[in-house]
Order: sequence, then structure tokens, then C-alpha cells
Amino acid sequence: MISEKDVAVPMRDGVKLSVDIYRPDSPERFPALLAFAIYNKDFQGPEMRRRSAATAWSPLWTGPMEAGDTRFFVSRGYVHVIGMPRGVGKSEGGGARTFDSYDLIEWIAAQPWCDGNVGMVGISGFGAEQLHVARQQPPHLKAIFPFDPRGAYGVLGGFREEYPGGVIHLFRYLVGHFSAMHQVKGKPGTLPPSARRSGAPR
Amino acid sequence: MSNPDYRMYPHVYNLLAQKGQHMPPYFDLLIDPYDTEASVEKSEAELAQIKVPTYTGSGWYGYTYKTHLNGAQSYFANITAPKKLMFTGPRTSSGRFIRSTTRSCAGTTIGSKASTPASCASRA
Repeated sequence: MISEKDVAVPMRDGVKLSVDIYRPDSPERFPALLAFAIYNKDFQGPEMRRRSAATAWSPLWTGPMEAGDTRFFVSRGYVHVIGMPRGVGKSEGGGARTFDSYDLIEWIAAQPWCDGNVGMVGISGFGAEQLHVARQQPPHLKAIFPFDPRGAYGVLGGFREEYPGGVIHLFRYLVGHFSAMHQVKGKPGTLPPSARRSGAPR
Repeated sequence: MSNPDYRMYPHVYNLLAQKGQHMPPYFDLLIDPYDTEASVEKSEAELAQIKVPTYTGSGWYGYTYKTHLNGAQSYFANITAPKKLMFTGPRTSSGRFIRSTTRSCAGTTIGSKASTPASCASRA
């Protein structure tokens, strides 16, 4: 398997998204499966499949491992692309992210390792993104598999989805409380010497 | 905001105190929870724009995440493209059921044991 990490992909307005690409070690062209969401790609992919302690059923769930099983896909002749929209993680910020998935799908289809067919996979936020971009009908998007997607009504979900039985449920509370959404807060400054000595990442 | 009930939930309190500067869609949901007829019609019209084959699903474990449980059913009901729906059962306390069904059905492996899904429905 060939792994390409933190590949910068320019959008129509020049903002660059950061994506990870996993593909079969072969010169052939393959169909690609894109997983794209606000959940940091650094918590997805084959390494985290083996190491993650925060499973999807964990009460301390923070959005890991919902992009799909990379080794499962790649071993069956698919390219697995995992990305984040602008303003999230290593992707650049600025502008509107309305067409980020659309532009990424068309970029993938034009790559020398892709046969022009792009599908989408993933759970929850990864599912919601599929249902968003499918409405825009990008020419190379062939099928979607949104599992456990968000509500179908409104921006996040409507009354019937967010207030089941008339009482608000606390899913959104948990998502925010555990910082499951990995937003860009700007480039960190230099750590003071005392923090550097403690072994904190630089 | 002086109501102590709000302060039991710091995240909700912060959302309300910041008046939508943080997680604006959730803020909107808190202060204006009801669907209007126009917004429902708009959402359903947008679903009709999906033209690619769509395989969605959820499971009864989703009673804790109802946005997923109800969302999958709403999408399946309104999408007009070729579509399939998978519904799995409730999870056990160990999470074994959803681990296994999600792995075998979705290829989205989040566990290590494979088995067949509890139920699958399809509609062309």
C-alpha cells in the first residue's frame, strides 16, 4: 500500500485542503473512495484502526475511525482518500467550504492513479458530507454510502431529529463538549522554555 | 441566563452566552427548534437532487444518537435515486453487535468480529 500524507489540494478559490491518500502499490488506475468530514483525518486511517482506544461506542467518543477501514478498501482495489474541509485540522482556512467536496472529487478523478470513478464512504459527519455534495452532482461521483448520517432537515437536523419526543437530546452537547470537531485556531506560537523541557510537542 | 439549570451544562451555557458565535447551527436549534413547512419542503426538494445510487443506514443502537436513527430513515424515505437501507439492531453493553454488523455491512471496520446484519431493505 502506498501512503501519501498531508497532500495539499487546491480548491477553486486557491485555499488548500490537506488529504491523506492510500492506494494499491500498482501502476494501474483504480476507483477511489473519499471520506471527508470535520473529524480530523489524523484520527482516521490504517494506523488508528490498530491503535485507537476511542471506539465508536465509547462514551468518550471524539470522532475517530469513521472514515472506513483503509486496508479493507485498498486490498480490494480501491484508493482511500481521507480529507478535511477548510478550517479544520491541517486544511487551510478562509472562504466558504460549500464546494470543497465537489472540487476534491473532481481533483481525485483527474489523478493518474484514479480511473475516474469516485465513491464516498463514512459514518456520521462523513455521511452528512456525502448527502451534501451529492446534491451538487459532481460528474465523477458515482455512488454514496452515508451510514448513520445526520438529520435530513434543516442545517443540522430538524425538530423531529434533534428533539425526539419533544425533548432535546444531548448528542450535539457531547460533540462540542469533547471537542470532536477539530477547528483551526491559528498557528500555535513558540512554547516557553519550561513547557519545552516538559517534552510537549513543538 | 441566571437560571442555574443552564449552568449544569457548561457547553450549552457557553453556546447561549456567546449568542451563536460558537457552533451557530446548534445555537439556532436551541433558540428556534421548530421546523417550518417551508424548510421541510426545501430539504425534501434538495434530496430529490441526489441522482447517484445511495446506500444509507443506521441501527437501533442509535437511540442515543437520534440524529442518525431518524436521519437515515428520512433520507431513505425521500431520496428518489436508486437506494438501499440497512438497519441493524440495538447494541449490547459490550458493543459487540454494532462492531460486528458495521464491519460486515459497511466495510467501515470499527471492530474485529464479522457477522451478517440484522436486517437489510432495498428499494430500486
